[in-house]
Amino acid sequence: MSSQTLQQLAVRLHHDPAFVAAVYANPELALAGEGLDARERDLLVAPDQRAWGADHQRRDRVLEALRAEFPVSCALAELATRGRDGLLAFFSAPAFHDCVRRWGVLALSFGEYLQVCGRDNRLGGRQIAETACLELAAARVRRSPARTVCEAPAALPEWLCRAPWIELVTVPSGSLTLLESVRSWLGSGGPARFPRLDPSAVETVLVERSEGAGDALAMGLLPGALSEVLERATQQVSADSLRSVLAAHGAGAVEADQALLALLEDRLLREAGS
Amino acid sequence: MANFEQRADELPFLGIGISTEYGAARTPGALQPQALREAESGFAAFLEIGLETAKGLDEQARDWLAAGLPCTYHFLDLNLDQPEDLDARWLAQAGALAEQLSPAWLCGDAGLWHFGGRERAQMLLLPPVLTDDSASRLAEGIVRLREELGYEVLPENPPGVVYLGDLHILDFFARVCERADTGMLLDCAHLAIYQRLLGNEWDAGLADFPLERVIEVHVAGARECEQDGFAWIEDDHCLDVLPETWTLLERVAAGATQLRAVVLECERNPLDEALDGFASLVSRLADSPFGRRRSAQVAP
Repeated sequence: MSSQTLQQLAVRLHHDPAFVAAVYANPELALAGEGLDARERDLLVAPDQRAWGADHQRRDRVLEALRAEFPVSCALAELATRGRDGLLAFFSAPAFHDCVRRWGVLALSFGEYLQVCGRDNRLGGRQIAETACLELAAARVRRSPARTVCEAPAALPEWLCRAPWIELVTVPSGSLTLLESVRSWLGSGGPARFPRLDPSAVETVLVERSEGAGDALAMGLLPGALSEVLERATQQVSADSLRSVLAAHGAGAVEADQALLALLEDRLLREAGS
Repeated sequence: MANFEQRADELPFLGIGISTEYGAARTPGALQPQALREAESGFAAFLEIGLETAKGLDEQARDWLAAGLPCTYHFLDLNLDQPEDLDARWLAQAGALAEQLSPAWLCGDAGLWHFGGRERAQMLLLPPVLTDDSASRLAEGIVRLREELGYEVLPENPPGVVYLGDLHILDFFARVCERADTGMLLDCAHLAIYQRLLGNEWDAGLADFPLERVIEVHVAGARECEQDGFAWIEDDHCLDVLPETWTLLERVAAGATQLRAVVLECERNPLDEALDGFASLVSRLADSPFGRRRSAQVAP
């Protein structure tokens, strides 16, 4: 066992009072599977148990940092549960502990946690599952490679792929409108009345880095044909394959090439290997 | 490469200085580095600039550098004991900042500044695990950073409320210094907090510690706190310096033959109160080798 494992356990203990209680009540049981021997377990429970919670605002501070990327989902969860306890429960969830164990990205784990809670009808149910899905896509785009500026090719390359700085999300119809309504409510206040989702239909939302400097993102609905093209181009794909998607939607050969060139120009597609 | 003793001889004598970090001087009523220097130049002979590469330099730090004044680079975003944290991107950014600063050396708390990546929600500061293998890892990180950036790298004993491991913190850092053949930044306030937390005498472990490795010392005020009946001390950089911190300073300064710099960390306090703190600091150091050397330098 390395000091790194002990350090990871320290991070978890500093954030999760339930874990602290379990470890001190029965170290062998609570730390089973962590790869510690008896001496290391003793090291972990040597400090005063109350010391782990001395910084009682730690979880709140971290939650506020996470909220910066999930403002809508957090607001919906707080409205649904009338408080923040549901959100703070993240720090006692396997999602948090797994994330620390692998030194992962906490914001992404938090987004996935919110999605799962929503799908399990917790923290506000379906609505939060969909807004978390959109905000999680935005979080991924923020961490994607910077959008490069390069001249689009004049002719259509033989092989294409989707740009790494975009995400496509398929959600129930009305999800993007819901997200925008809650955002607007967060900015202006007033009665919390939001549009309902239409689970009988879906919409595809494109999340991309905005042009220019900074971390600004743009979100918008994509027409079915273009979303299918970009979905197919998740991995390297031939231009012919993408032409056939557009042809299935009624586009002629010239029109299909123009649409693909436009996607290249908008830097949503790029030449494979470039 | 020259050994520590030879390299230490080449380090400049900085005297007494102050510390800052991004945005600290914007706190209403906070100390302005230039204003302190104008009021008493000997209290602000250099600026220790706390840096996160993602944030860079603030206005006050830029002004200080524009005036061509001395500084040190205090990192706030590096887990020195994790080789993967010294990634190419961080090294490039830190290298570029170091080029702008031309610092006398790099220093920083040798703890866990972030878990996982440098993400806003993942920034914190935990002390290192005080074990022998952890000391070796930390030493490797120090050597690597020194070689990569070409500056001395002084690890600092971090503050904490929970310390894990079977070594006394001074024993831990003695091993780090020896294995990395480095000097260190000894924070007397952090050490006083550690000793009190563990119920130790103020000078526990000091007799065996190689004080000749101490290049820089920090002093700061702290606040006693209590939560659920648990008492601890928060290193909040106020001007109420613990008596043990002063005593440690005097003891360390008496034996630290290579001491080059002393910082009173009080970046968010008003100037008039800070001046009193610096006056106390000067008087506590007066009889030490550092104090005598400083007096000789600042004398007209």
